[in-house]
This record gives sequence, C-alpha cells and structure tokens, in this order.
Amino acid sequence: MSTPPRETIQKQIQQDWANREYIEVITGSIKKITDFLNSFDMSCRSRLATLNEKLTSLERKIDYLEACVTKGETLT
Amino acid sequence: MPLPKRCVEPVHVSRGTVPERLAVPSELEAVTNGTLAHTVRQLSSLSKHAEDMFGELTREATNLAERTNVLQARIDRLAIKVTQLDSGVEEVSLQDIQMRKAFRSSRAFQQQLFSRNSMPSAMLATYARCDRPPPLERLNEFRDDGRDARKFYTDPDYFFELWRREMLQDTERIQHDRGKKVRAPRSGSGAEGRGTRRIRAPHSTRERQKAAAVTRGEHIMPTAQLKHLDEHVAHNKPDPVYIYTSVPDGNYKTPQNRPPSTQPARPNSIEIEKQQIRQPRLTGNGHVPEESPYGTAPEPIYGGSIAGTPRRARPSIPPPAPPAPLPPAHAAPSLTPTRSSLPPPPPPPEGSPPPMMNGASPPHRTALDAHLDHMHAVIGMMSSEEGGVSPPPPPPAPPAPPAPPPPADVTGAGVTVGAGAGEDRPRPPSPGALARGASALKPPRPAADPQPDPRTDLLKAIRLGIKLRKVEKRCDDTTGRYDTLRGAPAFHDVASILARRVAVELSDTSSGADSDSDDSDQWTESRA
Repeated sequence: MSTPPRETIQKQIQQDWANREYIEVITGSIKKITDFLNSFDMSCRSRLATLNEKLTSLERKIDYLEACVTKGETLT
Repeated sequence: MPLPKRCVEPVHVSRGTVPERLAVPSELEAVTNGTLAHTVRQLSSLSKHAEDMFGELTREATNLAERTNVLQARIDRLAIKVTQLDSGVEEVSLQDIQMRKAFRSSRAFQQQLFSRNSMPSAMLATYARCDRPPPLERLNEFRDDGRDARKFYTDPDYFFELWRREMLQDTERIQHDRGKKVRAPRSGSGAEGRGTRRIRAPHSTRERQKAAAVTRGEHIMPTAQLKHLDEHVAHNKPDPVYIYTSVPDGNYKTPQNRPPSTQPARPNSIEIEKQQIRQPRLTGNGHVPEESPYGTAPEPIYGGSIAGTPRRARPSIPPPAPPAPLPPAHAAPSLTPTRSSLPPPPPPPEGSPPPMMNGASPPHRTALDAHLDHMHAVIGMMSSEEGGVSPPPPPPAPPAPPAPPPPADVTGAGVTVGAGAGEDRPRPPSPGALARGASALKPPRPAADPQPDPRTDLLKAIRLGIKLRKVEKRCDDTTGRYDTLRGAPAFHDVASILARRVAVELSDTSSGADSDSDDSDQWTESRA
C-alpha cells in the first residue's frame, strides 16, 4: 500500500485539528449553556421559594386581617 | 450518593465514532463527524432538559402568580372593606367583642414532600430506567402471614413505617408514664392515704421520737421483747438497773454490772417521766424508811434519771407525747412543760427527802437547783389547780402514774420497776389512783385528738382542689386527643403523628406542673 504524500497527511491533520477545535468550541458552549441553565434554575428556584414564603406569610396576615374585619363570627 | 437530576447525553462525545465494519475513506473525518453528531445530540438533550426545567419553573411561577392574584384580590376586597368601616356609624357592643370567636389559622401541614408525585420529571425518567424489581408479589399466595412478599425485597415505606411505629410507641410510653406519674400521687394522696396520714398524726411524736433515738444509735426493743424483759426483771429483783434506780447516788457504779445491750447511750425524757411516775409513788405512800433508799435519791432521781436513766432498760413505750430527747444536764427544764400535763411531779424538794437528798448528793445539788425551782413552780401550779395544800396533793397524784401500768404496757415498765425496786413497798392506792392516773395520762391524748379535726376540713378542701385540677387536666388531655383525632384517626400521616406527639408532650408538661402543685400540697399539708 502506497503511503500518501506527506503534504496530504499534514493537510488532513491540520483539518482534523481545526475540526476538533470547532467541536471543542461547540461542546464548550454547550457546557456554558448547561452551567447557565443550572444557575438559572437554582436562582429561579430560590427566588420563587422566597416569593412563596412571602406569599404564604402574606396570606396568613390577610387571613388574620379578614378575620379581624369580618363580623358575625361569634361564639353564640 | 448524590443522584444527578438531569443528565445531558451522550456524555462521551467522541467515542465510538469510527465505524468498525465499514471501511471509511478518512478516519479523521469520521471521528469529526461522529463527534459533531454526538454534540448535536447533547444539544438536543440539553434543550430537552432546559425545556423541562423551564416548564417546572413556569409551573411554579404560574402557581405563585395565581396565588398572588388571589391575594391581590383579597387585599383589594379588604381595602374596600376597611375603607367602608366607620366607627362613627357602627356601634360595636362590648358583648359582641367578648363573644367574638378567637382567630384560628387554618394551617395545612405539608407532608409527603419527597414522594413519587412530587418528583421532577427528569428524576422520574431516571427511575423509570431502573430495572424493575423481581415479580416477588406472585409468591404472595404462598405466604401464610399475608404480608407482601415484595416488601421483603424493596419497601419504599419501610423507613416511614419504622419512624411511625417508633413515634407512636414513644407517644404511648409518654402517656403511660404520665398516667403512672399522675396516678401515683393521686392514689397516695387519695382518701385512704390521707386517712392513714391523719390517723397517724397522734402517734407521730412517739414514732418521731423513736426514729430520732434510733438515728442516734440507740437500740429500741420491740414491745414484746420488752415485756419479756420486764418479766425477767420482775423475777430478778437484784437486777442492777433497778438497783441503781433505787440506790441514791450510785449512779455510775452499777453500769458495770449491767449488760451493755440494756444500756441506752443516753437518757431519755421518757425515762425521766418514768422516774417521775415512780417517785411519786414512793413519796406518796409516805413510807419514809422505804423511801429512804429512794428518798436519798429523790433529787438524784432527777439527776440520776438524767445521768442514770441510760442504765435502765429502755422503756417499752414512751408516754403519749414525749418531748424531744434531751441532753442529760438540761433535760429537766425543757421537760417541765410536758410535765405540766402529767401528774404533778414528786414532792422531793418540799418533803423530807430533799434534805436527805441534799445531804446525800451535794454535787448534784448545784446542777439540779434550776430543775428543782422549776419543779417547785410546777408543783405549786398543779397543787393550786387541784385546790389541795401543796405538800399533800403531790402524794395522791404520784400514786396515779403507777396505776396505769395494767392498762398500757407503756407503764408496764414502771410497774415492774416499782415491784423490782421495792417489793415490800406498799402498793399504791389502786382505785382512786387508777382513775387519777388515767386522767393524768389522758390529757396529752385529748390534746392530740382535736388536732385532726381541723385538718380534716383542710384536707377536704385540698382534696377538692386537687380533684378539680384533675378534671381540668383530663379535659386538656381529651381535647388534645380529639385534636389529633380530628387530624387523622389512623395516624398514618406525619402531621397527625407529630400533632399527637406535640399534644401529648404539652399535656405532659402541664401534668408536671400539676405534680409540682401536688408536692406543694403535700408540703402544706404536712406543715398543717
């Protein structure tokens, strides 16, 4: 089997390096996206949790205020 | 083990990208293409996860937005209502305010937070990929105990069951203990307990006396043994103890003859009273010659009783209410108060004996002067009360004490003493003396008897109070139970179990306070 000329091989390797670099960029971007998504998820969840807490306490306060304001609920 | 929630696949982008069977003109290109393809898959997986994630977030945010909207509507309504409120127009009666129902928040316990239902879809997918457990449930028909065969292989509720059982047992135990703790004092402080305590009160002084003597290292013989001893003594007149008592001043000589066991380490007021009893008899009979042995010792008797009583065998039983044991030297003064209730003390000081005594025991004289003076005063009081002349009255009274011997074994010792000390000594005038002796001995008892009466009222009141409190506590208990029952009758969820436990523990603390109050009651009762 005849070996390809030296220039061809060099060219193929260089092309491969370029492809690998390209793929590396893509995978790196995917990782970044993943990181972002994870951090976004975390931050969203924590904010939503905080909001949920506040809403719950607000609901309780409103419950109490409504009970205070409404009349007619007596023991008799 | 941390379990990744979402996994972007494929993980290894460049692996397996070269087809093995197919001849590829350019392997490098094949690898590049394969890697690119995997990367695209990764991106798709990522977008799927991102969609899922955003979906979750959106759902949650939507939920919050709904709640916020509802809350906003309520707030608006509330604002309108509040602005409509006008204190000038509406009249609110105090009664309405008083009768208003207390606010009670309807708080829903969140539970089963980590169940299959609340599992994110990505995790569910991961779980779904797991191998199914072997179909062990098919073996159920061969099981006799009716348990699910698969639960032996895998049981998601295992730990919850474990926890539930533990909590329920714990709760039961707490309740059981508390019931015991509450019931124990109740039963102790019940009518019986109180009754016995009340009955015991009159005897308490004697028992206290005995206990104090025992703690001081004295040996108190049981009454039966003492009786036996007394008989023995009666048979053996020369018993050193009684010889000593009859001997004027030989206080400290006789002890050597005596067996150590019969020598109490310390004189007791009881003995002193015995001496009193004995002495009156001697002087009361008016037999000077017979008294001489005693007469020489009339005062010594006190001195001797103080110093010498230790030699005597311990009295079988102390008089009704003996005063606290006294140190030898100072015994007499403190005794006098109790003596006032007892038959008048011997006339030694005023009678002929005193001079003899004085002559016989000069050393004791100084120490006994105070006692004698006190005795004089007491005798004077007694005689004046009886209306008789001071010298004569004492004699009649003295005989009385010896008389009691027959009725009570308390005085039995005194009788035997009398017999042993001077048999030839004339017997005390029995009939009148007996009556007097009885009357003389009685006083302390009547004094002790009336005491319980006021106590019964107090105890009744206390008991009523305790009963009331008990009823309250039971109410609390039942309300707690109802509360828990309202939550979940079967106790199959965490909230109800926890609520029950909290209720039990709360009622436990209240019962603790109750027991404290019980203690205080007992304290006050004992004080009373």
